[in-house]
Amino acid sequence: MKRVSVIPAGLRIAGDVEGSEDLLVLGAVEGGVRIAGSLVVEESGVVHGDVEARSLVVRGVLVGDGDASEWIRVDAQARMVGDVRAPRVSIVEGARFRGRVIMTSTESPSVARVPRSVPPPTTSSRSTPPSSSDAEAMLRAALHEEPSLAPIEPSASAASVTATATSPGTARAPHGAHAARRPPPPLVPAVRRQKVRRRDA
Amino acid sequence: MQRSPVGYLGASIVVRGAVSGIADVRVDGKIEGDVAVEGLVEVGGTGVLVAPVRVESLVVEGHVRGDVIATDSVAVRNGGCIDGNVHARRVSIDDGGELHGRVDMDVELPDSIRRRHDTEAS
Repeated sequence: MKRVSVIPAGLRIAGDVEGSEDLLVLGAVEGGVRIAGSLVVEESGVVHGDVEARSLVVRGVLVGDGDASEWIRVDAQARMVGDVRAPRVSIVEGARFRGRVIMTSTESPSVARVPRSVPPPTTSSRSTPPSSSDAEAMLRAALHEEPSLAPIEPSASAASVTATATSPGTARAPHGAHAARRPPPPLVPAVRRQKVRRRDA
Repeated sequence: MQRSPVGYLGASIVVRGAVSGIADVRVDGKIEGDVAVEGLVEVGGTGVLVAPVRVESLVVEGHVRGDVIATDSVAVRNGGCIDGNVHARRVSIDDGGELHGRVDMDVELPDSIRRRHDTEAS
């Protein structure tokens, strides 16, 4: 089996990284990363620069834009500042994210969707991890969400959201926590436009 | 918790810039720039370093172009090549390995010879 490329914890790269295979980042990269395979920024990983990959999983720190031809998942432990751009983007509860989410059009027939070589980021496939290297296992875990993933702590994250959303003067009742949370994402633009047109007519 | 894997740069990986830190790394790809790593760096058969290299230990099966300073050892294996000067405590070149440059190891000479050598040198 092909060995997975790893930038290990403790290693720092000041410069650009390129390649046509999968890459696991546990160390630090200050510069751009362009990978034709999957890119996983692990929990100990820190990337300061724009990244491009076929699929991208952020579980550590990414300060820079993420661009993927297939999908991006900003995982529960992630801290990310930058835009994400992919046909499919997911941000897992607990992630800290600041930036734009650009889901590149999949409706337009001119944009042919790349056939998926990996399952979608949110489905949990129960295939047993191959008994190969640690890096391989880590990559599999990140891409397929194996059960080995650390559990999300909803209470802690909810509390932090409430703390940031409510001003100190207006203390809310416990049930108000839900109202204080961010509103749902905006409606699909196409639906909005239809409504407006109907009102005009 | 999983054991942290060692570093590995596959054959298609190209790094342009400075690589530093404390880690062991095997390079089957290419690094252009600077390498300063506290640990073992293995340059595999397809690996290329175009950089000044400062490491603990270096094993070369591929190609290194640049001066090498190792606090411990440098080994050039069969098929490996260093274009540059090498300073290390221990340096070995296997049969079939290439080194184009100077090798600088601390050489402990017997006292009598050392005195003569030192006066000749000065």
